[in-house]
Amino acid sequence: MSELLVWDDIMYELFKIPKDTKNITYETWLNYVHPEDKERSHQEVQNALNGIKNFDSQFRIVCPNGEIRHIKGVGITQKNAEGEVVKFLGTNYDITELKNTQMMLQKSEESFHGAFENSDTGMAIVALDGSFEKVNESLCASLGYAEKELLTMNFKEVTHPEDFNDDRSLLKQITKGKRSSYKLEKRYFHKDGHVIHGILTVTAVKDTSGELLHFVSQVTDITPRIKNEKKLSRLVDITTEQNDSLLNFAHIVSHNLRSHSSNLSMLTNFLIKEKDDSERKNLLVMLRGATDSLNDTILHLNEVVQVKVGAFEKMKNINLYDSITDVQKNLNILIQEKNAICEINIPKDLKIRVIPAYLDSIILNLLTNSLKYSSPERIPLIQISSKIESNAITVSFKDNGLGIDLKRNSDKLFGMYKTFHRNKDAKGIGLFITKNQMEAMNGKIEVESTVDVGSTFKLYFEKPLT
Amino acid sequence: MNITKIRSVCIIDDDPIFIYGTKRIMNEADFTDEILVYNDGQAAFDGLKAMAERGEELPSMIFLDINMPIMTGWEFLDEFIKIPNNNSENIIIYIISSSVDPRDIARIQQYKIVNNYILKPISIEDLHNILKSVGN
Repeated sequence: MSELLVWDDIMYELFKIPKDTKNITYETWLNYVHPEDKERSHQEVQNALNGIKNFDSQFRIVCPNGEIRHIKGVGITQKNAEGEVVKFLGTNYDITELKNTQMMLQKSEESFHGAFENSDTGMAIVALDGSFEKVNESLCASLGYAEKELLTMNFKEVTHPEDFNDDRSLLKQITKGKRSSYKLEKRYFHKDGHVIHGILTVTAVKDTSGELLHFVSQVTDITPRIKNEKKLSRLVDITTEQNDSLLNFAHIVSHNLRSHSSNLSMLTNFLIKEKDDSERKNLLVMLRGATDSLNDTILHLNEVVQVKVGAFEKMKNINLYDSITDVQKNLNILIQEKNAICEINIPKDLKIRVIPAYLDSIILNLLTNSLKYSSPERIPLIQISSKIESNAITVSFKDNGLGIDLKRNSDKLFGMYKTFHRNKDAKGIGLFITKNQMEAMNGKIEVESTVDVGSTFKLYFEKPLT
Repeated sequence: MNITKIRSVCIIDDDPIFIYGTKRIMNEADFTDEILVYNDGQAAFDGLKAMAERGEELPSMIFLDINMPIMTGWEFLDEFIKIPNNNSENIIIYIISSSVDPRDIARIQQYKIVNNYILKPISIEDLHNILKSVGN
């Protein structure tokens, strides 16, 4: 077999060699092969010639202009009757485009893979039935599952039931071909049960014939943002509430001071004109009463300001039972006078988180109220009990006293200078202060009452810090 | 100008000093010969209702405080207009209060039976003005 090769026109074009080039040999062909592929290609040709393996290979050639092209080569041997190889027929195809496309595909796959794995956004490839085919670390972290666990799950299992239908109907629009992607703010469940807020973007992936393969889902975890928003709106609420209460307080101050000052100016005007001695004495007594009332009012307003300022005082874990029995001892005389019965159903080791002085003042106020407004027709019975709830400790003060008509008075009950009984000591300051003190301790006070049956005040305290 | 006395006045207020002062000024101004006093809205409502039921003539003018125990001035107004034969179109009602709270002032507009608002302390000039406007 000679070394001479017979090339067709396409081969010349492929190798970018002038068509009139003479004496093209195997050596010529081999010289064009890329140095890195040369030895392998030569060996493969030899293997074909020796009948070991047909030539079917890929290699690179370096054209005279320096360009590197990818070639697929196929060759068969022709043998004579004796079985000797007499001819080697080969075809070379230019597969550079294919190779480039493959490399680009590989690169794009690699970059997708890199983006998928390293993204801060939770990503998943979701099968048409909703199961996870592939998930990234970020999604696992957001939802609290291991990759292995998520891959056995369906997106429905981690979706908040209230948001599932929205998601499903949008997904259906994709499967029906009405859209190719969608974006949705939805809630997921973390493995430990808490809600995760996410922005989900779903994109359809189709094959060349347009058949839907799967979905690519991207989930941006916005839980911290939502949490911050909630925190902010709570702050705005608190600020609004405080503003309202300050404005209210300003009106209370204005009203209460005005009512005294107007009395004082009226009385002094009378006094200036009055000639009659006994009437002058009468006016002086009233003037003194008016100044005393003004003093009281200022003391009360001061007390209210103190509560608002006192919120800076430190909260402490306090034994509730001891606090109640201490106050009860101080009220012993009044309790005996009224023949009242005081039942305390509080665990002796129960602690609540309070400002101690406020707790004392609240207990004193509620107990005093129950005694002061007891029904003359019944032996006063005061029952104090507690309950541990999920985020608070509630304490109930229940009495069988006169009660209050809440239909008429519920909005005024905790207001300043609001009184509901024709009782001379009623000043309308106690419950107002109590409510302010409870709020200063992040708690609240509620009331249930029926006229002539009794009242129950329910206090919500913070749980002790451990 | 012909100044007529008010036939009878009802003061509804829980402040004894205000009541004393108002009575005294009314005397000075020769405002009325008959003064009826209640110390809270509930007492006033009960008293006036009983009068209406007995067929007695109700006072022709009411001086009403807002902030009172048991029943406020507002609640009194709400209940008062429900009394049958209350003759309210012939009764002139003045709100007399220390409140400068715009919410209170705005609320007065909602009560058609309220004639006007007088800020405490009430003065003899206030009473003269009332007499003039009634005379007209």
